[in-house]
Amino acid sequence: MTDAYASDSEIQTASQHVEALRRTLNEVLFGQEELINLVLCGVIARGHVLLEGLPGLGKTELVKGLSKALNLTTRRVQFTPDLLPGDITGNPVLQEVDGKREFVFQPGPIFTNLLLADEINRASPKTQSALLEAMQERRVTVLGQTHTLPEPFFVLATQNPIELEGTYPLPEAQVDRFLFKLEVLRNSAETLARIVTHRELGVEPQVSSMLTREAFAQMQATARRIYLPEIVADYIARVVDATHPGQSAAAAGVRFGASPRAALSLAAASKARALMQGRPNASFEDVQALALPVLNHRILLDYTARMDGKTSAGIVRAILAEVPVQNLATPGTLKEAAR
Amino acid sequence: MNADMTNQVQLSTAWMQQARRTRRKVNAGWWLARAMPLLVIAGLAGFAVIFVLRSRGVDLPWQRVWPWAAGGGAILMVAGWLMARRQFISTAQALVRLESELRLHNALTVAAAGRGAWPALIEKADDGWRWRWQTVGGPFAAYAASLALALWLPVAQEADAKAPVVEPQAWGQMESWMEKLQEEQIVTEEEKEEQLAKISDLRDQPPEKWFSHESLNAGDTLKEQLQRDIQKLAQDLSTAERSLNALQNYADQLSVAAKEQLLKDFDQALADMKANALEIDPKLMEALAGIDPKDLKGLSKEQMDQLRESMKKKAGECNGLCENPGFLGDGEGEDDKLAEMLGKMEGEGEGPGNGGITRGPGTAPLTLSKEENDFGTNKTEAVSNTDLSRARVGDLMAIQDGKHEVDKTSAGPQAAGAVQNTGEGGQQVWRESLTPEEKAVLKRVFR
Repeated sequence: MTDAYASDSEIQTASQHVEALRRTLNEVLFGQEELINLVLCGVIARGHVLLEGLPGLGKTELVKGLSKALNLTTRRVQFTPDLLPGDITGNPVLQEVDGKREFVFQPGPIFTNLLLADEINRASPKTQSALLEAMQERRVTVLGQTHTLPEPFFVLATQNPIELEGTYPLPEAQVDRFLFKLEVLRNSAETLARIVTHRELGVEPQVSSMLTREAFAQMQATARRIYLPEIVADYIARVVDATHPGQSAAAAGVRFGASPRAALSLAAASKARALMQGRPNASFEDVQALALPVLNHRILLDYTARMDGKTSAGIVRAILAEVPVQNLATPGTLKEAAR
Repeated sequence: MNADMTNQVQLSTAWMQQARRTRRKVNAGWWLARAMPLLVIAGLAGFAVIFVLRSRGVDLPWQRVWPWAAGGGAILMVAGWLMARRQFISTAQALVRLESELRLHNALTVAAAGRGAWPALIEKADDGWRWRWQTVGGPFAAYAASLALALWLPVAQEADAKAPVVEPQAWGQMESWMEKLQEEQIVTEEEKEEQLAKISDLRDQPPEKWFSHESLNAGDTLKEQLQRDIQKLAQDLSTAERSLNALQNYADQLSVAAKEQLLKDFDQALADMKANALEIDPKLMEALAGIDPKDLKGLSKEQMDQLRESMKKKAGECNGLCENPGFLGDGEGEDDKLAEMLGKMEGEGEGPGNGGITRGPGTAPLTLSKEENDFGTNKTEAVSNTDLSRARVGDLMAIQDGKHEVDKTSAGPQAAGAVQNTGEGGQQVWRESLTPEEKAVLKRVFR
């Protein structure tokens, strides 16, 4: 019988695996430690990740490196405006079976462990929505038949923020299904020097498998059994609630706040981060560290706020500054010491 | 294993102690925060109470005040504690406070819940709270200073509310008359008491009604009645004395008819004295009743003289009481003195008094001046109403001389609908800058 909470040995083992993965991925992608940590956190928390950044920053390399390190099957789909839903989910093909002609389902590229959806915002909304069911329920329904996707299943999507012509912004419902939306920043000069020294154009870096599929599944299971103290859950709830208009001063200019799925995502990501750091419990610090990638894409600003130059990220930071870790008022006779 | 457990127990004890310290500090902060306003209000109220009491003459030395002040302060602190209880934090909440301040990743809460090990102790673990000493000390100082100030400030004592109120003069006048009559053995003690009781009835009214019309009227009526009775008594005593005097000393020279008249007057005077509303002293009445005017030889000449002198004196007393019972009121003729004084003033009326303690007597300037005073009433003065808010319809506001202001700048006929800037067909007009109002409309539309 499995204990309700992760044991020290399980945490220790998982922590070692994470460290090995981190080292490997850092050899694939230079100077993006924070990004690698968040991507690892996302996959350990069984979440989908949306990467946004300029071309050539290594987004695809990171995903390919991750799939190799985790020993997972990977498919890459280049999203284009003429891509059809069936091109992703698969199509029924008329075949002759035992002398009869019948439709046989030909699985699409979505039937994989790790789906790299490159430039996802180039596909039509119809095609984007084909991913909805797959991302949330990890299954695909074609012609009334439901097909379960392999376990584990992740979507790591990328989108280019500068080319807006011929793109279709992701619908809110789909954006909400991504655990993180991560911004891939450009490299510093030192990092570029390392890249130039250690890489050659057109030659992919060698990545060895660090983990079996079972070990990775075990790691994900351990992350789910990380202890989430009641006070941390309460803090997550208050932070997410504060994203809604009228619920906090920082939320002025917000049109729609984060959904309950955001609270669940934040809790799952906090647990994964605690496991990555070898701790038996999620903490306030985990919530604060992950609030931005989890909530940033889930907060919609109104026109006025956008005109005033406000951003979702700024609002999340303001909310973190406004919402105390404990819902306790401060007596007027005491003041909080500045640290 | 055992050493590890012992270490965990020690760490648990140490962290819990630290949490309890934090809890006590925060709860004390809440306690003070709730008690402070009460202290300030109580300080102001105490200041007012002490000040009022002192102004009314109550002696309040600080030795008498400070136990009350301390007691009141203690009660307020208890009230503050009761009010603050709802905000008090628990030890578990104090642990959360500590771990969040020390960035321990909720290790203390997890350890307290038995889900993890207690972290190592941190030297000088700080819970992040600092006292606001000005906030804490200010109300205490204000409370103490208010009370001290109320004790220290010099105050002018109000007039004693119990001081005797001036009463209508007629009452005291009548009392003095009765005292005098009783002292001279003209009226009985009972009669005096009866009259004083009537005065006392008037005095028993509320002081604010003593000078009401009804009260003054009743007092004056009583006084006039008493005055008439005393005058009648004086008259009767004089009549009896004169009759006795004539019968005693001039009997030989009187005709029979004159004697008869005197005897009749004496008897009438006695009868009137008996019938007087004032009850005459029995001794006096017995002495008078014992005299037989037809045969005065029963009394020696000395006895008769003594009796007559007594009657004469009593009659004089009664007359003295009733003489000039004027507004100065003691019956000793102050009205005459006043009239005399006023007469002198009239003669000296050369101008108004010079003021000061030696002022007067003087007269009003219009009384005796030979020349008419000039008040300048025949001058014509301009009147202007600066407060137009009170002007009524029809009031003249102002008069101004001047010509009509006519715009003399010539202007010829102008074509209406002229457009200064005409755009050509197909041109697009751009607005690169928006006014705030336009921005607001856009925001509303696109919100």
